[in-house]
Amino acid sequence: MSIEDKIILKIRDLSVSTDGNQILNGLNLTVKKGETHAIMGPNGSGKSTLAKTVAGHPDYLITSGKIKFLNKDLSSMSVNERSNLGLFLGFQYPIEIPGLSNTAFLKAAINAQRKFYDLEDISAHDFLLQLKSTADQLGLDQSFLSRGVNEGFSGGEKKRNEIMQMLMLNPKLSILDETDSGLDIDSMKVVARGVNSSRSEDSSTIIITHYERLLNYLVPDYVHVFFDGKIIKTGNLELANELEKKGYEWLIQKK
Amino acid sequence: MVNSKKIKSLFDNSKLDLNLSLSSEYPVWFQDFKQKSLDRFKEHNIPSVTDNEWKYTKIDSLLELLFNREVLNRIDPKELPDKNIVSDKDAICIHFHNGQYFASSDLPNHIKIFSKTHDKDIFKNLFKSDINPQRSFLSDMNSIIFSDTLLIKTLQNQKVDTEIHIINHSHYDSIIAPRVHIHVAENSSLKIFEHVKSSTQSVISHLMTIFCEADSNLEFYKLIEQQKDTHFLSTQTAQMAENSKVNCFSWDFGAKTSTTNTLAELDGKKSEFHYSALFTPSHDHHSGNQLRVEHNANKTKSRIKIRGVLNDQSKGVFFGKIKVNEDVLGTSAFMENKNLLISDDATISTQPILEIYNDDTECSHSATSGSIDEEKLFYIQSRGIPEIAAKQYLIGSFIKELINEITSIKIKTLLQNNFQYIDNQS
Repeated sequence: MSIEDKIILKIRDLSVSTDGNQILNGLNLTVKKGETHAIMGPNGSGKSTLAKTVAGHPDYLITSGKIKFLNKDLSSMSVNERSNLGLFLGFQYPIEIPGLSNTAFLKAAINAQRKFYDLEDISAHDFLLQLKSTADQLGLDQSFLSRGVNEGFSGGEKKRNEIMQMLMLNPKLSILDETDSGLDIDSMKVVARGVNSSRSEDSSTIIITHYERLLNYLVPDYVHVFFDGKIIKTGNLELANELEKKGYEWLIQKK
Repeated sequence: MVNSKKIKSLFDNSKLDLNLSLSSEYPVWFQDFKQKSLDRFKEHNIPSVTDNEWKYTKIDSLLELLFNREVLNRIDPKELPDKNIVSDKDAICIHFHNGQYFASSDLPNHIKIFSKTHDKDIFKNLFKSDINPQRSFLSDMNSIIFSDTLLIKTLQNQKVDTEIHIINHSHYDSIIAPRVHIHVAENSSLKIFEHVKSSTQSVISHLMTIFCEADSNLEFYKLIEQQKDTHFLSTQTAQMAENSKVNCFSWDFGAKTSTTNTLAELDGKKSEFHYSALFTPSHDHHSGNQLRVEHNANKTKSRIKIRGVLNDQSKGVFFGKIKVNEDVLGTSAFMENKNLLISDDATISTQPILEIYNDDTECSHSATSGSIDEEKLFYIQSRGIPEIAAKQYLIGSFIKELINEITSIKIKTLLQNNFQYIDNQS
């Protein structure tokens, strides 16, 4: 396997603006298969912008640079094609869609992915089995499945629901945008177990977070610190621990 | 300047030939009824832009068009729809083609048809008494044009479980006038589904009257599916006695002009009127809903929910007025109009009005208009679902609340077949 084949995500010199404001300024990041990367950094440093840009949010405009996912240029790909290829974004604020049940939504998502790979629709039996075991794994009550997508869910339930979608879609790269925010300790353990269970030699994860706590459960291979739209320092879990104690000031001043 | 031109001014120079329906095949009392309707029709003013209800509907040019068409209340055997749809084991089906009755299942006693081939005299009293409380130009227009009539009248204490399906089909470049009278007697109940379909450039003047006696219950569903160059003018009235309840749902797909004018009079105490309507026009279609609810007795209740989904260059109009009269206590009224514009060129005019003359009233109204929520769209797409399907899901989610209230499984299935992304699992 060549080095290129091992790379899942390759971002080169990426600059992104939204609403006329430049947010990312020449960002470089490479994620290989099986790796877990954590992205930390102060508010407004561009963490969520990176997540949304990679997922293809129409409000984020790439002004220069390239994003390659599985060696394919993402810029010309629609949001759904990126997902079908194996990209998953866990939303910081999951969206409520009343009137569309979780079950119907997940089934449509799985079948869209299967169609992309020229496979037949999943059988009702297989789908329900998979759905039930995933919901059990995350401690989500069966009643959640028939409710509208995230409709009236608590903050913690919404985040668990994101992880459920991730596990059902079995992505090659998951970007989890502050999945730990608003979670109590028990929920965080459940979410961490869910993420850990999805890790494999072939799939990778990017975790955007403000706190080391989730990272202690997930143990990332790399911890990157964002500031002013680019990475100013890369380290390992120790860096996250240091940031927890000292904050970001010392790094920014050093820069 | 206020336009107070009378319909007469349009009528006298028109090509409209009413001889057909005034022919000697019909009894004298019927011809009298027609003549009186005609005289009254001519005296109505043509609604103008100063008339709130008609402000956004070009009714004058439509009337001109109407008077230059041929009245053609007849069946052409070549154009008859498939007879297979007549046989439905679970329902009584009655078919009208170009305004004329042509087929039905075996009819029970509570369903009567006025036509050339049926007994006319049972209708004598119906046409003698004033069955058009609204007496608008729309109801008078139907009265001068129609030929056949359907009367559904229950006996006291008669609970009819079998649904009645009325199919009104038109297939000509002509004017037709379907007419339905529903009379739900004391402590009886009915379930009716009406399907109005057109295949060519018809002008359809549709009339329906509902009369609910004390403790009666009516469930009514209406599907209006027109060709793009059809003009559809509908008027419906409901008069409700003590403790009666009407549940109505209608879905209008739009037409060149499609407008439904509804008047509900809650005359008996504790009567309830529930009205949900969905309009989904596309192309350059016009779809309008004008609605008036009058609370005339104590402890009456009305619930109005109107949803519009507008595509392309279509135009939607909602005018709704709830009136609570003086001396009327304990009214509960709610009126809501929500609109989803799925194209930049679609427009909506919405005007909910409350007119309340008594303080002992619980009443609210709301109106919203917006386009597809981009964040919701992004969320659905981010799970691999293509944009077109994602939009359909959001439209389905927007109308779901109305669909959920439908108790007839048959109607629900029909709607779900039309909107494949309505999710029936939540």
